[in-house]
Amino acid sequence: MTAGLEAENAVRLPALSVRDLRVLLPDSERDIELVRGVSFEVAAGECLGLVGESGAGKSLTGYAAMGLVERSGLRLEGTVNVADVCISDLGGRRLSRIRGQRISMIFQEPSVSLNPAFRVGSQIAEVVRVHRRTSRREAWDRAIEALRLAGVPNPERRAREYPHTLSGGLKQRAMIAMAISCEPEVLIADEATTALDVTVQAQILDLLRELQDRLGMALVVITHDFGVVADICDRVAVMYAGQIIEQGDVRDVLYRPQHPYTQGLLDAVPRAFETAAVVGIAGTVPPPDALLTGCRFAPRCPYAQDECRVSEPELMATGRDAMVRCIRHSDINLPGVRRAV
Amino acid sequence: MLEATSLDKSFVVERDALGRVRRSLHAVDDVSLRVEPGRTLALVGESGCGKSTTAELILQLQAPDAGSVVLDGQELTGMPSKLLRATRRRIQPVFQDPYSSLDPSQTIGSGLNELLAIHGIGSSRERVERAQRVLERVGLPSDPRALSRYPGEFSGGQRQRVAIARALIVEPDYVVLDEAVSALDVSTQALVLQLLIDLQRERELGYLFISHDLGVVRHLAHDVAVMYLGQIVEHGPAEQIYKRPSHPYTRALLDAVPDPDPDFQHARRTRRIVVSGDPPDPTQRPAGCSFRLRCPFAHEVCAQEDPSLSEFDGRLVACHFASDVLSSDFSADGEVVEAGPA
Repeated sequence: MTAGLEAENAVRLPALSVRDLRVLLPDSERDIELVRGVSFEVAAGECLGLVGESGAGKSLTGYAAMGLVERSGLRLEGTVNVADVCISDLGGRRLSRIRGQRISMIFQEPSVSLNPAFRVGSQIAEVVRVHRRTSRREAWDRAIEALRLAGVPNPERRAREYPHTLSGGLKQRAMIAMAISCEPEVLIADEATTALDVTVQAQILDLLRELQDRLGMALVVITHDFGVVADICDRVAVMYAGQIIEQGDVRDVLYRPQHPYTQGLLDAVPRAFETAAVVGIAGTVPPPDALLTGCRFAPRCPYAQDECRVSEPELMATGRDAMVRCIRHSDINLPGVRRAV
Repeated sequence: MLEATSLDKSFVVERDALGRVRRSLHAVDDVSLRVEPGRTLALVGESGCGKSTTAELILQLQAPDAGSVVLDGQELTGMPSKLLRATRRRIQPVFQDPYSSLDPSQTIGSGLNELLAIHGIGSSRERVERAQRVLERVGLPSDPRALSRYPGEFSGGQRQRVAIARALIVEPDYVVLDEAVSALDVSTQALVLQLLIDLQRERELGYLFISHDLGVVRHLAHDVAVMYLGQIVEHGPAEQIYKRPSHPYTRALLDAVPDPDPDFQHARRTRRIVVSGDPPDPTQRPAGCSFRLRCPFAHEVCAQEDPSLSEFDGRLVACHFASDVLSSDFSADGEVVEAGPA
């Protein structure tokens, strides 16, 4: 009976669940909110994109979900659950035990994860040994297996090398190997393909897809690139000025966006297979300490009316797993991404 | 017309104890380009392919080992520096990172004034007027207070506008833009791209636009040259290159660009050329065609003979199998599945 209930729970519980996440920068007068109440869930085997421009708070959201912001003097509010474990309440060693084992993260710059002073294989084996009770030998074998899974050719030889001897693409693969070495349930990729050449980016996206299939991970892809979103994500949350402003199935959001900012971004992307003129969005993202009443996008929004400046809009449900933070969403009709020719 | 012919540049990477060259990098190998007034030539390729070195050779920031750069019939390579200063005014650079290319301790106004003074343009009052006009044109505040602001007081997009203003104030005929919009967020990038397009139309500017971003290039370039390991592998009208790529590397690059139309992207991502691995170490270029080790079309001849850039289907391409590349489809694992007649 209990086992049956647990199995049912395991099916139902999202792999990652983030509730009303806030990241605050303590300030003498009032705390500055950098992430302003973000909620999302990602199921096992599913890929969620967090997309937005610089200053949207998407990377900070990722770091916060990993419990990585408090060390930098920021304060975290809200809850983060990995399956049935609430990791936002955990501190110190108990959090460290989960991080790297059940949830891990990869970055734009592999040097964030890879220590230049140690061999690639030893660093990965160290992660394995911290989380699993294995012998050195087993941990080393596991490290080589992780490198192989991450598509590193000749993993036995590469494991003995230092990070600086690897090319950019291989470093990225080594970092991914480290992140998946304990087969985490959740992997957060923070602009993990942004600095790579486009042919290497395509390889790494294929790799992430393959690993996700194989390990059944929940994947969170943080990116500024709608091409990457269309390529790999099942669902997407568009962020602006610290908030999610629209969320839903990728095809719904890209073909039938409900928020003017989503449409604005789609119209601004210069595409290789579509030649209609790109249109920018005038103005800039409001700084996090700006005292704004009303919608934070209103100053730049072509559809804004007086009512938009009265109070901050809530994130409204508009369908199954579809949400938008715009009071005018049902009055306006947005064309979505142009079909490629 | 700004014309570079057969540019060559190598760098010594490593010497032995006797000072003899052990390893060198052929950064630019027989590169010829032509930039015409009112048109944009884009030079594309991945990091380390030699595109930025090519820009530096054309800007006369580095001397080529061989080859020439000619501006309207006047040879620039080897020109005495006094004479070069006058011609430099006509070719202005805009670089990627406006954070490092602008002096943080100099106000915008004084920077612009200094550029005009170097080229002996205008009286001091005229210089201020010119500075205000150019700032206004690039969409920045142009009142006297704006002139006394420092680069640090501007956002990224505004700083790139300042960099464009600095290039424009001396009224050049050609602008070399090296990853000039790459660091900007899309909503700002689109505005700066539109500004570049408008300025080109207004002033008949010739652009050499260096970029790794094939989306951006599609929206600006009339002609495209694709670089791989120091060499141009395909060169022609943008429409031809994007719609009918005939070098396997061009095709691999285009296939790898993810597009935001989900249905289109899903359909194409399963049918693309897959190039294995990273670009090889540029100090150890393979004999023959330098792309052959990653190329699904490579045959024996590719190892023996480095293909020369030659006419094919309305553009130049350096591949023994260009017609196969043009007519082939790919399976989900990147294998060539059909190579019909071109």
